[in-house]
Amino acid sequence: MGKYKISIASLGAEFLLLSWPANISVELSEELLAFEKFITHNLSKFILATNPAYVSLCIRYNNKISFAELKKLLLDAYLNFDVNIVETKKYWEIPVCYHRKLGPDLLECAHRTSLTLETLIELHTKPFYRIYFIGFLPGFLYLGGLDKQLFIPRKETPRTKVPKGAVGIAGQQTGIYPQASPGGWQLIGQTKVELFHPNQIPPTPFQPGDYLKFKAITLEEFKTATHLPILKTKEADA
Amino acid sequence: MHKLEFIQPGLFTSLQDQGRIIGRNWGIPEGGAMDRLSARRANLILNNPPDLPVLEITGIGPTLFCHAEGQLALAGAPIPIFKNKKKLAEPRLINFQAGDLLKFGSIKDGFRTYISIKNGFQNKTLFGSVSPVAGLGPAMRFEKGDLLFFEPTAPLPVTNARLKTSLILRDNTIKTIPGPEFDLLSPEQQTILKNTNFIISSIATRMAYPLLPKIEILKHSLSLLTSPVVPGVVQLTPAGQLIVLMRDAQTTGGYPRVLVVTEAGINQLAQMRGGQEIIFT
Repeated sequence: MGKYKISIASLGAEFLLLSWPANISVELSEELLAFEKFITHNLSKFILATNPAYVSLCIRYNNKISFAELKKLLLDAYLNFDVNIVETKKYWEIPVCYHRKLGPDLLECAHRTSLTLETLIELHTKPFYRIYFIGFLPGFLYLGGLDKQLFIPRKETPRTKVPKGAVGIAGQQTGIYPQASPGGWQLIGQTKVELFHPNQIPPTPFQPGDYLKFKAITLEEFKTATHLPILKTKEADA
Repeated sequence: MHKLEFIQPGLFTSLQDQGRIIGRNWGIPEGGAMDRLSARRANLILNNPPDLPVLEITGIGPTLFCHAEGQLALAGAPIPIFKNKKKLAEPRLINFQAGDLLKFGSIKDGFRTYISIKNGFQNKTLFGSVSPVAGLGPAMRFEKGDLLFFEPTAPLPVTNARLKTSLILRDNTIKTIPGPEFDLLSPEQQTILKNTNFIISSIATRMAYPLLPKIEILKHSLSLLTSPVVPGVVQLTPAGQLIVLMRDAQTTGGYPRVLVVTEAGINQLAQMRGGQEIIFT
């Protein structure tokens, strides 16, 4: 049985939205992902696809069922599902070069946070960030767990082009641009790891519920750095 | 494989189908024909399955050189067509021969025309749809010199049936349901959503139709954790501007979702352009 008070709203004829209370937590996210797996398996007759976010889950359903009927089935399922479904989590390492040439906002970020460059990089590479979900752009990972000392507002004027692989900070978030695009994040580094492979299914090795850590590399190492993320065991890193 | 060649690409011409079902969980937009109903109609004229790839013409049509013979069917907004500089009487079906030049003109009534061919235009799919995705390989629209491939088949008899312009809804009322955050608005804000003539911005794209004007009373400071959005969702920015998300919309967003336009309403909007007025009901 689910632990929270959830609500269900229609998003038109094909989609509906399940909402949990609006407080991001690992516990809530774990339950949400477990419930996603549970209904994908148990209500596959009606559910075509799902996509999660921090505290909500979007469901695409077919025309074999009405919104009202599916809402009832989902609420029943929430009362009956087994929260203890253990997801296999993966732990990833992404090599990032934190050099002024690749992180044009690095010095500004150090200045704004009153941290030395070394401390800033140390704080950014220390945690295992939780991958809450993928959204916004193909392969863009929503990560949680940024150190409070690194909360920096996004740039007042967005850049017209941020390069693919740029690593940035915006408010309480940190992330990687999976492709070149306009963007307002403070750029502190760059990775060669490919986040998205359009010709593969799945197109990304990362899944919601996985964890990810950045590893600082030098400009010299960046030149020959891997395009693949490195799979770690958490124990080995602890 | 037979082919057509773009001599001029038109304003914004792309290959579209009924969009993709999978991929939202990887951040991939749904895509597909802006006016899905007209795209299905174009296919039905040729007894094609409704979801085959069709050409989506926006505003101003392309000029195509025919490298082989074939037959096209049209649905959606009426468009002037010239075969070898001679104007055709807007038929639903066009037969063409190798060496013909087909020029599609400017759309006056509606905004998007759909062109089908027997067994569909051939193209690579991305996650189950031919609809291009920004940044992932093929360009978002055709350019001069691009080719369209199709299978040779026997043509249907050409009738003189004209495109029924009534298929384009002239109605500017757009049907909606309340969005997940509708209840967070004040009664005054809720009322104004339904009683204002909004104008579609000139920067309306396949991703989104921003609406004008920004409304003082709709300004807000509601903060929302990033959450899923789908085509049809109407977002409200803190500055009091409404944005209707269309077929190529991103998969998640952070603005309150105050209304959701119905599927019929999205098709209706797809046939409207910047500067036109709408009212939500």
